[in-house]
This record gives sequence, C-alpha cells and structure tokens, in this order.
Amino acid sequence: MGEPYRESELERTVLNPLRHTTMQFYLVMGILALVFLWGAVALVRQWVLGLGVTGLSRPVYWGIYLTNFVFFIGISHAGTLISAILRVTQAEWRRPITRIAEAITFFALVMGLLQIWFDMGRPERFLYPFIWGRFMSPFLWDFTCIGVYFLSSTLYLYLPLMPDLARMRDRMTDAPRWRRWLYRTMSYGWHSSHEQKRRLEIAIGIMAILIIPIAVSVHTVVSWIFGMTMQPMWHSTILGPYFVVGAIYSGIAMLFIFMTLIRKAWHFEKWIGEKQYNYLGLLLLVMSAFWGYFTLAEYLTTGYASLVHETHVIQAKLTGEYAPWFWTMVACNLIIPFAILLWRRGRTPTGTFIAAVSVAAGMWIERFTIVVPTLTQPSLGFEPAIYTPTITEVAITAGSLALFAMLFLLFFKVFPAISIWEVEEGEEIEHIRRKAEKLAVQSSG
Amino acid sequence: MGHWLMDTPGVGSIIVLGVGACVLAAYIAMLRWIKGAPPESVPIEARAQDEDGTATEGGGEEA
Repeated sequence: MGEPYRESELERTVLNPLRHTTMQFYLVMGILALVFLWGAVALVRQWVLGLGVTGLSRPVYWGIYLTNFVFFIGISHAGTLISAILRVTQAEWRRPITRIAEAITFFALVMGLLQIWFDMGRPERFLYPFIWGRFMSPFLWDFTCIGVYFLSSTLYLYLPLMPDLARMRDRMTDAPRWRRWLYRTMSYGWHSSHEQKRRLEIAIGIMAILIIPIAVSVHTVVSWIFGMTMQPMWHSTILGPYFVVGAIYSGIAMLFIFMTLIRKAWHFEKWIGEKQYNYLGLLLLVMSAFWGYFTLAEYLTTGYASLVHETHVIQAKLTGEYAPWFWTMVACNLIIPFAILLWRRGRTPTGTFIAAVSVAAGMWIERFTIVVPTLTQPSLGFEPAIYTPTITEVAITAGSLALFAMLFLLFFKVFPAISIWEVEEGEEIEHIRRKAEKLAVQSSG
Repeated sequence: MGHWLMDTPGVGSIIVLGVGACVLAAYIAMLRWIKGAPPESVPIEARAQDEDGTATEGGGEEA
C-alpha cells in the first residue's frame, strides 16, 4: 500500500483560491460586475441609437475604441513575449509568473478584438470584412496575424497547464462535478510518463520560439493600419518598431499590476518575490528607455522636417489642445518609471506597482495621442475638428476593463495561477545545482 | 493572378480563414502527438545492467 499523498506548501497555497472563496473576492467581483453592466447597457444603447451617441464623426472616425484596441493588443504581448523569451533564454526566475503572463495575453486579445466590434456600430457588421474583405487591406493582414496569434497564445497557455490539470484531476476529488469533468477533459489523457513529458517540453519549446515572431508581426501589422495611410504622423516607417516596443513596455506593466495584486490577495509571497520584482523592474526600466528613444526619434524627425501637413499635428500635440495629454504621457512613461526603478530600493512590490500603473496609464494616453490628434487635423480640406469622448464611450471602455479583470480572476478561480509543476521542477534543478556545487567544493578541497 | 488574389472582395477572408485553419490543424496534431505518448511500461528502477554496461529491461508494469 502506498503512503497517503502529502500536499506540498506550494500546492496547498496555489490551490487554496480554487477551493475557497473569500468575501473580498465576492466584493471585487461585485464591483467589477456593476461596471461591466454599465458598459453593457451603454453598448446596447449604442447599437439601438447608432454611433451618433459617441463623439465619432467625420473626420475623427477613430477615437477611444481604436485606442483601446491598440492598447489591449499591446498588453497582450505581456505573457507571450515575456514568458516565451524568458523560457528560450532559460531564465529560471520566470517560473512562478509565466501563467499569469500567458493569461493576460489570452484575455487581452479577446478584449482587443471586441473593441473593433464596438467601433463598427452594429453587431452584424463584424461579418462585413469576411464578405467584402480584400487582402490588399491592412485590416485583413491584421485579422490573419491576430487570428494566428490568438490560436498560438491559446495553445501556449494550455500546454503548460496540462500537468497541473492532471494533478487537479487526481487530487481535487472533492471538487464539484463540473470541475472534475473539466479537469478530466482538459488534462487530455495526461499520464506523466517520461515520453509524454519529453513531448510536452518539445512542444512548449517549439511554441516559445514560434510565438516570438508571431507576436512581433501582430503589433507591426496593427501599426500598419495607421502606417499604410497617408495621414500626417501616421505614415512613418518607425511606427512598426515603435508599436512593438510600446507593446512590450505596456505588457510588462500590466504583468506587474496583476502579479502584485494576485500575490497579495492569494499569499504567493514565497514564490513571487524579490528576484521577480528586481529583474522585471530592470526590464521595465530598459523598455522605458527604448520607448523614450523611439518617441524622441519620431517627434524630432517630424518636427525638424516641418512638412506643412505634419506641423499642425505636432503643434497640436506639443503645445496645442493635446499638449496636456502628450506631456502627461511623457511623465507617466519616462519620468515616473525612471524616478522609481533606477534605484534598487525602488524595485519593490510597492514601487514597481506604482511605476506599472503609471506606465499603463501613460501607454493608453500614448495610443490616444497617436490615433486622435492626426484625425483632428485633416489634410483633405475639412476644417480642423474636435473630438470629445461621450459618456457612452467612457462606459464601454470602463466595462471592457472590468470584463478583462473579471475574466482573468474567474480563470484563476478554476485554474492555478502559478505553474506548480514548473516551480517544482525549478526547485529540483536548484537543489541539484547546489548539491553539485557542494560536491565540487568538497572534491577540490 | 496576384492582383486577383489581393483585390477581389471575399478572397481575402478565404485566405485569412485558410491560414487560420492550417494553424489550428497543426496545433491539434501537436496535442494529439502529446496525448499519444506511450505510458511508462518499465519502471526505471527495474532496469538492470549487464557486466559490459548495457542496460537490460526488467519486467513488470509501473503502478
């Protein structure tokens, strides 16, 4: 007869949120549900009354929804790029945070695609690109890349989940019936043999390498929706790399935000600790510098050339009606992160959380200052326009963010937020490494 | 041909769906490959070594 199974501290802590629900969780979900409801009511109102209830009109035909689309697609780079790159470079400290990052990717992509649907005005219009779409249009390049990215991210989230699903299938026998069915089905016959583990490692390795160019292509193609037009300050060769850098930057910030909140709420301090905050904080700092460089390059070359149709737009951003947005963006994306993260003592959970919230806000503003000011300064003979988002757009935006958070939290009420098998594997590797070091010291002595 | 592919309404969506379907099929094949891995037939501990160092397989199924 075998010994009774003893749950490790890791397993007990990570599975605790799946087994028990606190009042705080219900409270948070209640607040998010109310905000989501507000957004949903606003959306239905928009469907019934038309896009006239928004601030969108000729020539400002893209506003907050496109800003949200680019923002969500941007933060979807969190998981996949960070998780994939850190896997490929075998950074061991990534192990406790990869699943949070991969989940952010998945749900951010869903929310990003929904923004396009909201912007279309009527729900059935999402069929129009399929019925009338021509591949000459960057929109269809977008559909292709984002579609492939969505499938790849789903697989990349699912593959490392399989061993943990099998663990829950075998251990959580007292769970409700629907959960036991879910774990049994989704574990997809996982039996933990050497050959199966080997095949899983190969598959994860292939996906980690594949997903990097896919992720880069997604945000490059998203930038080409703007870059392939002749609009001032959109038609720029730097837009592709600028969007990719911005995406990685906002993705890391979003990872920090969710990682910190989950760590605090579910007591993961032992596994998500100093190393993660220090190294990710340095990564955020480096990306802040890259973002600053690209922003300077973009605005300096545009301002120096002083082409007539671009001068109006850059003046609107630097000194005109969009100056408060622009300089707030610079403060949020450059000054505040550098002030906090440049010093070792700033790279703490609190410090990095503040920097990350600042970056997330700053990157949303950056998307806004890319999309809207150009359209308010049309080059086709229209009068300069003003765009003011209405309460409908604000409600739908707030509802989208609330839905994003809700889906994320609900996901981690069903699936473990830390990859248990990967952390255990990392601990074993560390244990063997220390043993080998000790033996080496003893034998040389 | 190239012009027809790029410029005809509806053909673009066929390309998009075609690419998506190929990718989905590849990923499903990958999952089935992982699922199809044989279970452990011989425990590692049961394997014995001959004098010349070649491993021989012992008997018995892993529990």
